[in-house]
Amino acid sequence: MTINVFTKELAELLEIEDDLSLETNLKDYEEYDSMSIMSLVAYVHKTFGKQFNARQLNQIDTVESLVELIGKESFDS
Amino acid sequence: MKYWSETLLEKKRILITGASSGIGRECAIACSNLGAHIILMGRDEKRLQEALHSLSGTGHSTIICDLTLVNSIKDHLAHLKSTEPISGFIHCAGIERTRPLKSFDSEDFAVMFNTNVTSAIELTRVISALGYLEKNGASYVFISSVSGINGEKGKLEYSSTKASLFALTKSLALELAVKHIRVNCISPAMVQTPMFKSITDSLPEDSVNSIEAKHLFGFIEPSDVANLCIYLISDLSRKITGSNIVIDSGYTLK
Repeated sequence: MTINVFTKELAELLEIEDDLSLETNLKDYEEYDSMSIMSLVAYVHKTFGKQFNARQLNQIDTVESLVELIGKESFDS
Repeated sequence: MKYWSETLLEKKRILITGASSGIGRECAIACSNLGAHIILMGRDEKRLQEALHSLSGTGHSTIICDLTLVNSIKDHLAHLKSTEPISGFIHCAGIERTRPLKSFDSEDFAVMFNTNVTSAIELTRVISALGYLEKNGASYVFISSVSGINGEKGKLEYSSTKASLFALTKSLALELAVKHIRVNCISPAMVQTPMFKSITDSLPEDSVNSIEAKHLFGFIEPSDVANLCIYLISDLSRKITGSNIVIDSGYTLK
């Protein structure tokens, strides 16, 4: 998956209408709440096979920090 | 049997699912302390053996079985027929998961439903057939959850499986009374088990503190649930069937 596809899917998952970039701070959006974080846990596990918990995902802020947590090697260039 | 005694469950053979950890393991230990023979059922042979060694007395056994494979359950129990009559069944096995609606996955839900609900029905069907039970009847207990009563954000899958358990409890209680089988359900709030630890470890600390504050007498211990199981399995509760007993430390009051 490319970063571009990932940001589109992430916006859809979090129900954020803006286009997301690596610099976007997810914590600026009220949509990034505890329920969205739980959805993100399930999405990351299903898409990348990596299991994080809500506490870990609550610590990231930008899309880039999420990409780093998942691991840049998981994305196509 | 009118009152509590140290031989309350003597000669009773009790089948317990999810017996290798948490509430199931605690129930097994508690019932064995009062003289029961336990059939521990679980997936993990090593942990099941550890649980077996923690029991009091003798005459216990294990059955290694993956309850998601519902069609295999009957074969796993076949050796009990006409040899080791069962007088109690406690269904503790269960999968818990927090997953909001937008992440719902029907295949994952089917696995959870099989473990939490369908296996309970199949186990009940098998052991209630001719040749498996004590002649004097039996008592079945299903471990549900208060989330099946009140619901919980992000728990639609788990709460619907747990609500199913107390719905089927009532139907089974009506259907099985003719065989002198009582069927009841226990709905605890947060019990301090390995499952509980994985939930609280994943949540932000303030969320954990807010959940704990709603437990007016603190989080529930596995032994609290085990003590209620003992009562429901024993003849002390001989007039109780079709009930869903809440043990929640006041959690549902607020």
